[in-house]
Amino acid sequence: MAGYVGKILRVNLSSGEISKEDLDLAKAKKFFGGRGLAGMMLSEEIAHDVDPLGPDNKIFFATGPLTGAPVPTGSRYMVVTKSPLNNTIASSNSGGYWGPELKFAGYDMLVVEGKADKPTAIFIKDDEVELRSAENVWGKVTSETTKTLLEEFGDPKAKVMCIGPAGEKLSLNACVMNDLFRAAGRTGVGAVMGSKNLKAVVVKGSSKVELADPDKVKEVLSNTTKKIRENGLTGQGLPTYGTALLVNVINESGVYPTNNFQQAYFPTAEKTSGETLAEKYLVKKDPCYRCPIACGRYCKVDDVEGGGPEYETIWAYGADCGVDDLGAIIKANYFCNEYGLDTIAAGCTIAAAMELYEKGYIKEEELAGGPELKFGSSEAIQYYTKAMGLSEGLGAKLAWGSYRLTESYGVPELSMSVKKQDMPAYDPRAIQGMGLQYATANRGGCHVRGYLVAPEIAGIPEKLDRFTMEGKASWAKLFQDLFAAIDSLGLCIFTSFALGADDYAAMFSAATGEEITGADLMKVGDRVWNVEKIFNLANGYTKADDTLPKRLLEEPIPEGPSQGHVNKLAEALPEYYKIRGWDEEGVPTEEKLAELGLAVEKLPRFKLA
Amino acid sequence: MRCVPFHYHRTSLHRGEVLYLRQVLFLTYVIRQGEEFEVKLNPQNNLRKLYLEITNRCNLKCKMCYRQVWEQEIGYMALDMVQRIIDHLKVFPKLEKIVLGGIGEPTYHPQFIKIMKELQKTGIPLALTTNGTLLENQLIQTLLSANVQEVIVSVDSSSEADFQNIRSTELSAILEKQKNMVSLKKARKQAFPRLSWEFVAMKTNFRSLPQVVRRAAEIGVSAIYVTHLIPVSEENAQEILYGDTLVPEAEKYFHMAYNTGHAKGIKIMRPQNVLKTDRSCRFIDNYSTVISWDGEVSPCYRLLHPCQEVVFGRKKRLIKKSFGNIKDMTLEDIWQSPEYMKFRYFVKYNMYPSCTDCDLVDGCDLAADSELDCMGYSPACGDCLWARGIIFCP
Repeated sequence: MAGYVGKILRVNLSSGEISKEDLDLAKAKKFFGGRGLAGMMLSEEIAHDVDPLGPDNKIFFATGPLTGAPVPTGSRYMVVTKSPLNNTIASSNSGGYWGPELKFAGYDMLVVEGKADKPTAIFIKDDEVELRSAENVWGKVTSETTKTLLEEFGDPKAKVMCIGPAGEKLSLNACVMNDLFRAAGRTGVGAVMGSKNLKAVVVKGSSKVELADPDKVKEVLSNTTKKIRENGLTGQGLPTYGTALLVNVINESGVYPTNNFQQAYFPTAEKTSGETLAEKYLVKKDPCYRCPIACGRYCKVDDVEGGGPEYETIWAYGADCGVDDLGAIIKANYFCNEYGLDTIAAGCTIAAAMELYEKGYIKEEELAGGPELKFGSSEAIQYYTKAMGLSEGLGAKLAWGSYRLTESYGVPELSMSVKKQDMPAYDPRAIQGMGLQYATANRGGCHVRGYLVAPEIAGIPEKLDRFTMEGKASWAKLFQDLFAAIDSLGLCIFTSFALGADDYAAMFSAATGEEITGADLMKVGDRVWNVEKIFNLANGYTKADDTLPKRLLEEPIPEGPSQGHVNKLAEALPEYYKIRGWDEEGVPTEEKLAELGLAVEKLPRFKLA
Repeated sequence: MRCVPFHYHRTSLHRGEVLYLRQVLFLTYVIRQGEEFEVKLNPQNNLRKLYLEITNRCNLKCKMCYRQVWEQEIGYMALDMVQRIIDHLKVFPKLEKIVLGGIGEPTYHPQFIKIMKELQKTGIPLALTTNGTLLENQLIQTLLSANVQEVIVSVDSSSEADFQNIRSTELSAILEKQKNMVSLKKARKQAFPRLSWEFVAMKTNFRSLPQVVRRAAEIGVSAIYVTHLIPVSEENAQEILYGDTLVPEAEKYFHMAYNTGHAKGIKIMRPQNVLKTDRSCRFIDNYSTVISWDGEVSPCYRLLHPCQEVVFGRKKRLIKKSFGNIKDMTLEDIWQSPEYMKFRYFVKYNMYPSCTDCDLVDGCDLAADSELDCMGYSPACGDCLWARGIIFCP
């Protein structure tokens, strides 16, 4: 079996049963793997109405056919489960080295079910799989957990994926960490691990990914690497400055959300830019497995050093909280890594709390002796990140995420989220297509479900007018489907700055021996998207949820290069549904499901159009 | 050839069968390149030079040695393996030389003399690279009787203190032993073995190079191989003289030494001092192969053992590359295996990336080790400073 390993490892933490089953290759090829296949399997295997934090939810750690293969960025794996943050299909992506290692150990995916009665770690050494007590690392931060478990495992080259205290305490901002600094960040997947008493999975493998046509893979690798090297973003911008190169780019376009999206231009952004980061704090680059780009940073400030920060983190803790102290942002990022918090959600929750405080909803006494929650406070971002990680004091409320926090004060409209998930660092009021994408993304406000910033700001692959919705519906679909396919293959979406659907199809074909075209690849993406959509529909999501916070639809950007704009979502949503082959309510039609070959799949029940 | 029923389930295949299948299905003697090109490999027994590492043990602890950082099993090549290799060599009519070397001290092998006598019977010219500490009378007589054409001794300084610092042994003692060898050779009226030196140029020793050439002339050395240092730790990475330019003062001393060489009739092989576009692998170009003490067949010294090097300040993990073991296969099968042949083809015709001057090298994860390069070739040679002529092994 080429590309795929052909095995799924299934662990039931309630019964302690460990089983290995054959991968359904036909199904795998239909959904590629990773996000697609695991999403389909989750849809089949759990009742749609399970409690995300109950034992009946399942969590999938899924590689794609290109994870661990000799292609650029074959480092990614997906954590797929029902989201405790918003009941959508949660699928969160991470790089590093853990995903490839799982494959080298002989598994395309690990499925964890049930709930252990005490903290547990799973140790995987090729065929040997063992459940071990993790009581000694329960409550410990990521670095300590990783160090201790590596010692117990007895092989320093093993890879560790774990949760921090935030996941243990079921914070809805909790992520899954791997390789110390890599995070499957969004949708609260860390809490699902915590709810199962699953602290960590340590893995070491000794085989390689088999390839259908090694000579062809060489050729494809060579061609794609060349494109990556020659592209301005993947060959120069990202390697030199990391994702933080966007700080100045996005701010100069006046779409850099500031003070919880109250403004869209941050006058002192330069102090937190990728350029400043490289000049003052960068120690080295920190790549993922087999990545030539190496956007990952490794920074040091005072006594704190580690991976990151990324653009989104710099923004969430920086402009969104009104903070221009890059040292403090690096520290907040460090605490997120250690406590296992999604940096976007954590930063945005603090930004929302700052607005709540400044508007008088959060009272001073609630701060429990903590620093004032004022925009611009570098002290506050660090203090409340720790409090959130440990669910202490006000931190216990912050751990719910911005939506539940603002809702508890009766003002959910102050949460800058879509489907309860905080939006990242691009103000959709003046990147119209990005607003449509946020509103329709299956896991809620998200930039990695479709990055319309590429065409609307950077002109990749073509420059679009960012102030109009015209034509954006088809662009949104195109990006969403392409990214669904890339996520399912096990590659990094950053390659899409340089590569197109045909390149990915060539990689898949050479590795697996299954010849597909770029159009076939896009269809897989479409299929994956629809499976996710149906999962959400079954969970009660409707057209009304495909929206943006009121602020972005009604309050024009007050100043800066994009002054005066609001997002014109309503102009594009009907067209988007139509292009997707859905009815006016945003529900897939029977014809569409038949076209995608989904009519035969066991999907959760939803009200068909 | 075993017939493999195709209804066999993958997991039930034995390793041998998997390898067989892989060979039949994928590793044919054809290289497809793009839409237009197909290269047909033409296997033949054209091995010209064999590097034989009869041991990776050493009696010294030189500060620049790979042995400082490796975690490798150490041992001696068994006599029956030597014999097996000699048998395997019979089918290689073009074999010109066997070099006893590797990352160890050949004369430290307890059965060195016996091995030399066995190798002598092949009639193939021999060369020995040695630290020179064990060149005692009996051993010298063995070398003089065998068909040894060249003895290459590591001499990196003319000063006793510096030499001691680098090689942790006495310079005067090894020079005396070489003088003795030269006089015994003269007594037997033999031209061979020629005595050569290898000098690893570093910041701490380059000033002694002209003096080393003079000392070499006194002793009767015919050639000096000057190579730069490939650091194995960040500590000795400070010692390198090459880079965008050669350390300016070193250039002066190099020229003094070369000129002295002209005057004394000593051939001096000079390394490249800066990174040039030109690349050629002497191991591949000379149709060479390396066999380690435990029988693994590797393409070169760099990939002979799992190790670490520091390339222009960048740590790189070297993963041992073996195309097969003499215990399991004949050298002929290994030499002609599609995998090894394809590797030689790609290296010989430079179809591998250049990591050393790539914009992305300071982050690229592919450059972190030698397993794979960004063009899909494995092992990865894009960072190799031997191919750049900066590092040189006789």
